[in-house]
Amino acid sequence: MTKLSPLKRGFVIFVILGVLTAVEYYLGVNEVPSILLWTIAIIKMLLVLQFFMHINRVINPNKGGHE
Amino acid sequence: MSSINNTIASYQQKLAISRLGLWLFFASDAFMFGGLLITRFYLLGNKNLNLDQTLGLLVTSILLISSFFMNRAEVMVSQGNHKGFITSLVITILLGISFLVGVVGLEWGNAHFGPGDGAEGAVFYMMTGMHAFHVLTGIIFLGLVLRNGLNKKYTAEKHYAVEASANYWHFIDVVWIIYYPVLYLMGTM
Repeated sequence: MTKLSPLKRGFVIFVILGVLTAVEYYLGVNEVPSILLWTIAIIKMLLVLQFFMHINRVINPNKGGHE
Repeated sequence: MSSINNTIASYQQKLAISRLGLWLFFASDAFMFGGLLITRFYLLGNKNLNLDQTLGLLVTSILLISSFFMNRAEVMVSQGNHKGFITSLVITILLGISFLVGVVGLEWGNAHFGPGDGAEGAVFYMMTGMHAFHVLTGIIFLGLVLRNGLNKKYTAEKHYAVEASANYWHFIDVVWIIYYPVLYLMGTM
């Protein structure tokens, strides 16, 4: 994932989030156990934190495109 | 040369402190949203709120697409692509407004209970209302960044305000990522 350009990486993450949301919706309307919905939600949250919010920039301030 | 190095070091230090401050704000805000989340399960248990599923999926998709364009705006500005940055930012703002219209304008009108109709109403309107308020402040934040962007105040090297507004927007998305299944999908009728 790190080898992709930032734009492509953003698009790939967006597609993954879209697919997970569709799966989540399908599972939700079929009343599956909540643990599955929680799992998907947490995976989506971690993807956004890592790839859109760049949480590692807080730990490593030298990262980030405008040093 | 030493003066330039000192300036760069000073900017990096300010950047690190600003990032830490922003994330501390996210942490404190997360406690508030977490409290509302716990309230939902405490008061309603495993009950499904029986909301409009199509509308729920639609507003969730709108917010997801807006996050993509916000990320694109941040990448564009870091690459010095001013036009791409402005375009992506405008699309993000429009999608944010659409999300607000979807939740506050449509979902609140469609819901089969009002804010005063017991625990259901209290939980639903408080959770969606507090989130919508954050979306509104996010749109205002993005509007300010857009104004500064149109005045060409950001460069590929210095654009922390864009990064901060993008992170704030993604934080709003993260909250909805949790709230969407909790409000719309979980529980039994």
